[in-house]
Amino acid sequence: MVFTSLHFFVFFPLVCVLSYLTPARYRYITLLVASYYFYLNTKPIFLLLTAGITLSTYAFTRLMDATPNDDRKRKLMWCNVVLILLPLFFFKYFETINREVMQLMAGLNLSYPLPDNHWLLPVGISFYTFMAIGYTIDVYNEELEAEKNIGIVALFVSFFPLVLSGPIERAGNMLPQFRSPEKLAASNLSKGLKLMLWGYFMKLVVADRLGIYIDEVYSDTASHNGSSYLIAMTLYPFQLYGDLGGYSLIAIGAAKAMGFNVMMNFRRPFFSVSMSEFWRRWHISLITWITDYIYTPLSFSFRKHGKWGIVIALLLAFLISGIWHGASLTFVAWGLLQGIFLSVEAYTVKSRADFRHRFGLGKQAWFIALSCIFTFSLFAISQVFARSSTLSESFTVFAKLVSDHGNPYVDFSNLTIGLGFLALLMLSDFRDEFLPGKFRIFDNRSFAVRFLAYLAIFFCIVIFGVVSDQFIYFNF
Amino acid sequence: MNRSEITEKLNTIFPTVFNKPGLSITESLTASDVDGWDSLTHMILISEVEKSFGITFKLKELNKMKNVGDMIEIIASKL
Amino acid sequence: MKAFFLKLGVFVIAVVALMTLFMSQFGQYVDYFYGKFTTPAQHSLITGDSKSLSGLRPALFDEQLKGQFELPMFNYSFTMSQAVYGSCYLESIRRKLDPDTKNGLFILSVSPWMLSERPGDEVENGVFFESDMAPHNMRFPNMKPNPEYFLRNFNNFHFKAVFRQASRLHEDGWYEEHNVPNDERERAALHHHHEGLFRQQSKIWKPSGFRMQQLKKTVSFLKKHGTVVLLRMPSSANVNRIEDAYWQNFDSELQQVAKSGASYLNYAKSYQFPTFDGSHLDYDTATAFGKALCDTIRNFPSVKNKLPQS
Repeated sequence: MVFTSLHFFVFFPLVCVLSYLTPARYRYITLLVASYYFYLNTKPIFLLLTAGITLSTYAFTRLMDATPNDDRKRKLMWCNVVLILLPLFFFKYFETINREVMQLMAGLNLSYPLPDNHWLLPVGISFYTFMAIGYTIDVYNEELEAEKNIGIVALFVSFFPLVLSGPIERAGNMLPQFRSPEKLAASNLSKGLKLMLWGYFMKLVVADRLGIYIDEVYSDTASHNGSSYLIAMTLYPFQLYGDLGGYSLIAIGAAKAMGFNVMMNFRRPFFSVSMSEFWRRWHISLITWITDYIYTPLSFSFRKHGKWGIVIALLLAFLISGIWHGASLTFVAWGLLQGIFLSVEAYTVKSRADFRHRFGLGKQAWFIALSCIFTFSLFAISQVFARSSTLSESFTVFAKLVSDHGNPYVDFSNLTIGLGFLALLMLSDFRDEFLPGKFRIFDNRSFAVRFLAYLAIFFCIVIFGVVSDQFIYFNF
Repeated sequence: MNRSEITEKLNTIFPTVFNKPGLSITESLTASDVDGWDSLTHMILISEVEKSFGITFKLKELNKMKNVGDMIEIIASKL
Repeated sequence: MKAFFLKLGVFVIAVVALMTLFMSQFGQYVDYFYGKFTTPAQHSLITGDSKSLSGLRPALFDEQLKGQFELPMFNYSFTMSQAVYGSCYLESIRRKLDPDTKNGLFILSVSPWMLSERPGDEVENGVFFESDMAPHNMRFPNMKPNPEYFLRNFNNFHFKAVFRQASRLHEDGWYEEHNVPNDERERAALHHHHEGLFRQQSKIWKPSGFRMQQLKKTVSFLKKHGTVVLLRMPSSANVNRIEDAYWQNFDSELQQVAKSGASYLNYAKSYQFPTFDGSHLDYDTATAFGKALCDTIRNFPSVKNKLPQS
């Protein structure tokens, strides 16, 4: 089941009612049943995976808590991490690796009999695997006690708002809430529903409209020129923002309506003045996860090497983040590029600060705007790799960008709608960034304004939304 | 070395790492209070602290440092 | 708490009221199929894909064949992406047909594509690609308003079509396309596009004995309720070439099917009815074609010898 299916619109209110009718102590059971039903509706067999990851994580974290021996604890931690990573590797990377190895062997005139694996990637597997790993490491670090109730662990791994595409939550935040959930409150319901409404708007009206154009351009590299690619390249970050950001908001809102606080995943990313700031505002749950569980341990062990140690740790962390997004060389290139951007920034922090200081640029609106545009451009360029299906395709795109100009392909109706509503989204982000608390619409003091705004956005979604079942991040 | 001596020593390290000559620390100071104290500079800070006190932290201890007070406590336990 | 639910209630009522108003004003522009499921069960049907959906206008049949069948005619055609003959379509036709019909007219528009196996089909296991699309997913095709359609086929709605009103579904199931280009170059581009499409699918799809069999069953079923015509509508020469290469014996196989109780009329190569895009007729050509078709049907021995019904 996906959030944009009609099925969900029946499922969600029903689960809300049932969950609030269950006494708080047992609410996790209702939610667990609902979550398993939700996941079952994608492909039943995949439920075995979530259940397996739950069992393994539960068993190993309990064992870790039971042993005072640090060495044994570390071994148990690694055991679980490797074990629950296996399905992810198998489903996501086996085929690519197999194909590459076969090609290599064929080049050496050797035949290699392993069959191709065409299994579908279990949706959400990258997300809940990371959540379970985070929990395991938290228990190892003694930041958390291992949860004794397996039902709560199972719910953490499969909680339906988060299971398909995050945010990648932490056990430290979710487990206490599952143990003693909040009482039914009008404020939670109304906040949650508002977030969901805006999320649907971002996803269906902005992202999917822009997506039609971008898909068209990227589907046919041969016939589209550099001007079209320039438009597609510029729009793609906005599509991704609407897509994953919107989907995250729906998830956060759904959880909120049921009384659970889930972390924000995006914080107006396009108003960042540097790449490092951008990565503190974009897909926050993933990037903090990578910081805490990959970058920090790596840079800690490389710390003797000073700045170079940090650079290597950064590159490795983003390389892993790239591979997490997709099992292909394009994502490796994408990850490396992010690592390089951040390393360069880390290396020049001081000189850039001096420069801003000397000319008094830090507070100048035009300089801030320019920095935002520069940061955006870097990100948009790096996303060409993520959007292309092969490395050579991305190089073709870059070549076209610099040489092949002409009249761009224009899909008037989709572009007008997409860009018009993108402007609305950006205005709203601009207000939250620079004029917090002003020009409130969804939270206006007047009921009439609020009411009309909800109605207007609702009908925007109905009339201008692209109703489809596809969501970019599912297969990541 | 007692806590105030540790604090004093830290007060020489922090301003150089973060390039803020006037920066003076308190026990409740956290990363979000200092401009430029991010995950990158944090590791530089850690290795500077280790060097000048002649100690090594464990990763686990690193995760427990939520503010400067925690850091002082962990340093004190190692001296 | 109470205040919140009150407001939520008001919101829901406002949404439903506005939606109803909108659908009653513009419903026929907003969905090409919704209107097919809001009529009572019918006596005479046209089935097929978009060729017959836009090319066979029931009103013309009503006028031309008045008194000879249980009319009015109803166009129960869809588009090539979901209309294929098979057990699903047969079941849907069964539901749409008034079981008391004795003298209906059933025009089944056929093409090689509508009798093909496609990606997603595993006919030997009873898995059909079309099973969760309209009309095959509708258990109740004769309800107005039809909430089942909203629930199952919300994806088909495209509300923004209201602005252009480029096409419209009439109450008799006929789909009127306003967007037919007159410019020769635009028409050539459409021809090119469609030929590419057909060439592409002829590589991936394959002729299906199973679907042929089901078409035969459909004929046998409908024959009990009236006159059945298997109709191959006009195509361009290029499209004919692609179809002939894809399925060489298509015509003889259809003649075989027709033996179970239908007349087979093949107009595929009747180039006096030119298509504007390779496979669709514009309004005037469709009218001329419809008249010619009615003349033929009127002269069927079984029809000719029957007394006109009052």
